[in-house]
Amino acid sequence: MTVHPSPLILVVEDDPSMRDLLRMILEKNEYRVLESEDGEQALSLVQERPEIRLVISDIKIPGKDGMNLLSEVVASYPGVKVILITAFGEVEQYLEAMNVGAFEYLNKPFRNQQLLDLVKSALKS
Amino acid sequence: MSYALNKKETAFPSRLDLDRLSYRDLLKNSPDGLIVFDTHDIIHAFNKGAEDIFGYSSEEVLGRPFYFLIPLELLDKGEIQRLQEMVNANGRLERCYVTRLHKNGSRIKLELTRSQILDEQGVVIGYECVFRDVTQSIEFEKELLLTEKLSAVETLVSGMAHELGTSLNIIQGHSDLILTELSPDSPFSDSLKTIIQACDRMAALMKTLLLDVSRREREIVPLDIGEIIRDLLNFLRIQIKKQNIKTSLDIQDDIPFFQGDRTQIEEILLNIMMNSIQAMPDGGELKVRTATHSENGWDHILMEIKDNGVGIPLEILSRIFEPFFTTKGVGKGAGLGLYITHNLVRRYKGRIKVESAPGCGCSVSIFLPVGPYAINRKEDDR
Ligand SMILES: Nc1ncnc2c1ncn2[C@@H]1O[C@H](COP(=O)(O)OP(=O)(O)O)[C@@H](O)[C@H]1O
Ligand SMILES: [Mg+2]
Repeated sequence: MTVHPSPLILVVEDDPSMRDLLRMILEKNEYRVLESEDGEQALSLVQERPEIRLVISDIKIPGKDGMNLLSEVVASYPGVKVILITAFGEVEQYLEAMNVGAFEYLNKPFRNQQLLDLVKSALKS
Repeated sequence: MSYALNKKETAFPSRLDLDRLSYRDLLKNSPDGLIVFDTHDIIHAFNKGAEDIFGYSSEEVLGRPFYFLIPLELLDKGEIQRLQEMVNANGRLERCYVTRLHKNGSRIKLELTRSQILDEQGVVIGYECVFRDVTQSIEFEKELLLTEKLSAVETLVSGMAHELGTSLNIIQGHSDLILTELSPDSPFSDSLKTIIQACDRMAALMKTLLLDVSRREREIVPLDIGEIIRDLLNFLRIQIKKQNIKTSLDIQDDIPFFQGDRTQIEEILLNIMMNSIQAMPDGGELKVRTATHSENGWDHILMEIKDNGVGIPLEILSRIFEPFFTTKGVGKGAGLGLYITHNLVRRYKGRIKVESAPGCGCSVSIFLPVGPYAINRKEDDR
């Protein structure tokens, strides 16, 4: 019985192997993980599960894209942090994401430890 | 086959009467070239334009057959018969591209229209050729083509970036996960580390390719090119010493500052210096020179990097700026150095000239415009 359950993190990614990877990295480090394949579903999960403290989303996902998901989460759920994942070279998207209010931004490929460091600081702040 | 190239014939046994046609007046001052010759291929008229294009004066060529204007290998391949047949088929040959020989031995490209000259009975008594030199514009088009090709590659690559990045991430991340589960003395932990490192290399490669230099933040400041060159040579000194390479520097002190991003200018120079160093595995000399240079009335800074390494065969000279083109072994050259360099130089409205031959080393000159031209032009970039 845990008095303080470990934080819940929502992973939004349509590539199953990538989604598995994110989940496994996080679970191995004692985080609880929810998964979603698309933006619409992700948004309703955030609505239904107020214990979600962090959303990690790829920028290219079906339904709503990552950027839309980000702006809706930021607008309606100020307590929820968002980390966006995208490919190299998309500097404009980086700037946009940060302007819209993403906590941080990760370029693929990233190292597992980079993700963990970011998650840690997102949940701390 | 003999063409009696240099024999001058004094009497023209021909019925072609130029005065009657008054071509002389018509095209005397045209920048387009005009050559009139008879059915024996003897030149009867050679206007000012033709003089400029071929470098011969009309006195030198009148009365001679025109064969000396054609490269020998084309003559051997039947160039004259080929054109003759084409003209005779429709009386006229319109705007075809041919290679000809300048007096100084260089090859020129002409856009040429050739038509028959008929007498009153409709018998062919000669030919007139009107042409212009398109050597420059063909090169320009080639440049444009390359530019288009490069941006197509850029688009392709950034479209693939997401897929590539995801796949790399999957390989590297899962390997990393297994590695942390494996006991440190497992024989497989080294294999996993190798996979992870290979992913890092791929990622670095991708990054180089995708870091679209134009979108990267640029910090434009006045740069001392000479100082940058000295810094880079210092940075490379260990490699230079190891390969027994002599360096010689000829840096003008009074060249103007160049308005640019230091990292980008360093990248340009570094790529070219690295190529030179790699071309001299058993020693040699690396010469770096800067100078000012005026072109079309605009000031340019010239940076010249010269080596006496292996040199570049003619067949591949035209390909060295292509992305991924490399003659270096797997894991050695990525074939991106000159591609990136070319892109950067283009962004500063400059140009690169490469002169090389196998065994004779290689000389790369970079011309970067300075002053109002550069400043005005940089903004309309892309
Ligand atoms: N100084 C040089 N001497 C000889 N060959 C050169 C030189 N510079 C470039 N090259 C040729 O151009 C190719 C492309 O160069 P680059 O784009 O820098 O790619 P890389 O160095 O990775 O092969 C080289 O593989 C080499 O064949
Ligand atoms: Mg290179």
